[in-house]
Amino acid sequence: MSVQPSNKLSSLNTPFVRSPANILGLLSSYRNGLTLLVLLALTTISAMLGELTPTSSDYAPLILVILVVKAQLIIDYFMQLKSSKPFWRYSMSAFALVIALIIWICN
Amino acid sequence: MSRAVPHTPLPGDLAIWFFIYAELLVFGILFIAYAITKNLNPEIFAEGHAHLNRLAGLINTGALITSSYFVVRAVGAIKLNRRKACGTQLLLALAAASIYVLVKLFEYYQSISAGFDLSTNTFYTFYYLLTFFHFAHVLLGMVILAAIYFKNRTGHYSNIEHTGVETGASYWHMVDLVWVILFPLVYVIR
Repeated sequence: MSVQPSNKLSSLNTPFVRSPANILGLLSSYRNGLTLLVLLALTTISAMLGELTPTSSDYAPLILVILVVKAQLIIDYFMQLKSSKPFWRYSMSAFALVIALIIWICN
Repeated sequence: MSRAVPHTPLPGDLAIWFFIYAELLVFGILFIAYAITKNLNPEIFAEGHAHLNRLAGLINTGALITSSYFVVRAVGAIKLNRRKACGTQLLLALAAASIYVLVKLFEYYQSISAGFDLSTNTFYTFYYLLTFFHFAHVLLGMVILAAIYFKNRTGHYSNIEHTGVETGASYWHMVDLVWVILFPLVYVIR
């Protein structure tokens, strides 16, 4: 008598891309790869902006916007808080935003 | 009729999130203290900033972000019950973190050799305090990732039970998040 495997078991036995769970995993992997590239690009842009002015940082507001965007990407995709309860996501985002605002005010 | 969007559970153990918030609070206070002190002593901070190795800061940012990416992949792998892939990703994360450690140690060696230590001026007191405090967190994070790697090798984690991997990953991303703020604050903005 043959026993039909459950969904979980079949996802382990079938080739990698055939299982819906693995397709989701593959899509998530591409999204995370894209997040990494964006983060690295923003870091380079931020460092270059800092080098543009020798004595004062005229680009400080732009550098701080980049900081907030990078922090949000880490919170949403690396920490995986994008679809968590809003409290966790927004409190973490507020931390980066408040620190960036204080740095901007003090600069 | 509107349908409520289901929220995904918080990754990892709830206790780690309280720990993360406590850590962020401490780092937040240090960041604010740095920004205020910089505002009060602009010349000292401008001079100190000029001697910083900004390329080292850039390399370290890349290393930590890349390390975080591998940790995300490790979590994704264990959720699919791919233990071997999870272990490989954790090793890659540790390798990227090691780059950070080596570059940071080189940077400290360079600064101390040039005669800049904790007591040189206010800028260097903050520089060493902030970066070393973060460095200590990176070392702790590496120990946690290594512990997860060995536990994974002995079959502790699976697609059903992977809270430990998620908990360690959440801590590691917090370390990354702090550096993402520290890098422009100390190295980029003059």
